[in-house]
Amino acid sequence: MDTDFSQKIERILNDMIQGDDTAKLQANTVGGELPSEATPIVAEVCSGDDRVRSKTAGEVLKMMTHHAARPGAKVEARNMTGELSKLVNNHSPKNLRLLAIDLLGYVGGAEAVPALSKQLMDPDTQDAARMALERIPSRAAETALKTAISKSSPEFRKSLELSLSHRKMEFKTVGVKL
Amino acid sequence: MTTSRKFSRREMIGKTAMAFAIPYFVPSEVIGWKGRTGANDKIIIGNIGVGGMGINHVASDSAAICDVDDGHMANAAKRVTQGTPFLTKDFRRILDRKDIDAVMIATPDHWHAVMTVMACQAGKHVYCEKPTSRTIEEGRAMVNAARYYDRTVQIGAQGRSTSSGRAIADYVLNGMIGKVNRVDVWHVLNFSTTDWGDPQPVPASLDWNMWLGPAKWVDYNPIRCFFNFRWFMDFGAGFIRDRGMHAFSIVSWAMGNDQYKGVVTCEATGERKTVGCYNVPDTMSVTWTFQNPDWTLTWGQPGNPPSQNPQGWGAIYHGDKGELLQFGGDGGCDTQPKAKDFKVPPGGKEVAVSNDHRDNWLNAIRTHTKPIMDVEIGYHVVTLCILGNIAWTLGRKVTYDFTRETFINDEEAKRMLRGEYRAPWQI
Repeated sequence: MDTDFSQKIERILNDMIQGDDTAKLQANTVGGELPSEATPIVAEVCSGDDRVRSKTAGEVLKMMTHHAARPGAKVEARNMTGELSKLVNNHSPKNLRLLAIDLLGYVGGAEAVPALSKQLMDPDTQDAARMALERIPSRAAETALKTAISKSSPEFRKSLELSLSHRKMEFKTVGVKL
Repeated sequence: MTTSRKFSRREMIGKTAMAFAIPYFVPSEVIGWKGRTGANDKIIIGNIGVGGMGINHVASDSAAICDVDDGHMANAAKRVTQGTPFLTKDFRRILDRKDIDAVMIATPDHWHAVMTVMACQAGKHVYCEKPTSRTIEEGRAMVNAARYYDRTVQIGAQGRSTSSGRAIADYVLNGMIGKVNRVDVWHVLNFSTTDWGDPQPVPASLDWNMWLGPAKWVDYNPIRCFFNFRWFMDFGAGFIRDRGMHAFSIVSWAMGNDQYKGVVTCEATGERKTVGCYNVPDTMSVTWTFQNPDWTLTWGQPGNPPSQNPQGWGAIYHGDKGELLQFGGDGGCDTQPKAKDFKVPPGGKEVAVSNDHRDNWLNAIRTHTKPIMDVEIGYHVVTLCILGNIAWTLGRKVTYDFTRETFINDEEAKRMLRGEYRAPWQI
């Protein structure tokens, strides 16, 4: 199975990097439709030293996530959340961790909160994590932001309070000091 | 200048309280009336962001200049020949000044909403360069602030103050090419680079932290600024939100779409960048479909440019009785002679006339009327640009409801209605 994924991912990367216009556009669709199980392989390329392949693999990861987060695909979204959460919590390179955190803010629900909460304590990732939690509408995300306030530096506390405040804003009054 | 406004603080409170249907009290400091003086019509202006487009807004009598780059500020200060302008790298010091009535904002996009909202809260009228905002929520915040604090906010889509832009609108609105069922906008590709944008020392002349402001932190590299912020999704988001806003401004005018409150679908494709630090798409193809009246708008990079202007950008209006070309859409907007020579017949539709975007704004302030590119129209137009980028990012068709100001049946897209902010900045 891994070999199948590897070959498919290789084709996608090659098409995105050096294919003609048609192949590049087609790769966007095919790349997005990769199942969440392909995430570790894509992440490995993303962690590599070849900057072109790394960037391209990052784009594939984005496409996979957004495809999984489409309407009516709850199981795929949950599976993708699980895979991204693993990337956040392991010893991945910083750029990959930041990407996974950012994507969790779009695809993740309450199940993404534990992984993101831990990142609130890491100076390298805490601002990205609080922004991702800000986007997740679940009560668990709000609780995580509130809980982190008492454990954070005065400077980061302001950022957490900003996120909590922004979550409450409504379109009809945003931009106005009431 | 402010004494020329014909309403009292009490009237204003009553008016805005009705608008929001919530009882409240607004201290005079909040709405900027306290300490504001001036019995004549002269409007005292401060400039915020004076590199790039902003330098063109610096008049000989500018009262204050703000820029985070020393070089920009010094260059702009040379333009002021009447008096000595107040110079600062922190725009809040301009907002603090009670003697300044209005500000012209020409910073990168990620500052537009925060500055406009704060300026309105400080009682300043605003001329804000296009694109209106980064996100849909920011556009709404700008409209709310303008209305609540009763400030005049003009968006710098200067095509609305050109005779050709007006000619296009009058020509199409009066049915000269029949019923228009499709408008195709074409544009050259987004820029590319092989530079990876690795961190570099910040020049002493630049306040990088303030340049970033509300945006997510990224380490400095000159490839990110000043002009090239356009090729990053978190900052300029590509030509579609840059010149696209200009082009769509004229299209929206000509199609009578400024007040459209229906549903629009949007789908997009585009090649992803695989080299260098930019992350907007290389190519882009976007389609918006409107209902009642039914028509389609497309954005193509490169699209299908007409032979008359293969290297530039513009729009082709396809009507059932003919076609019309729009070249550009900004202050250099042009069109075909048949539209320029067209005279609106008695009883025909005629759009408002503005021959100078800045003067139109100043006049709107004085007469307490809406400017030609009022912030609410700017919000509507930039929403189209933002929808295109969201559809491309998600890789699927999205459906947006202009009345409810949200996406239909797409939770992930809804999360893209708003952005995040770096403390202490907020809208």
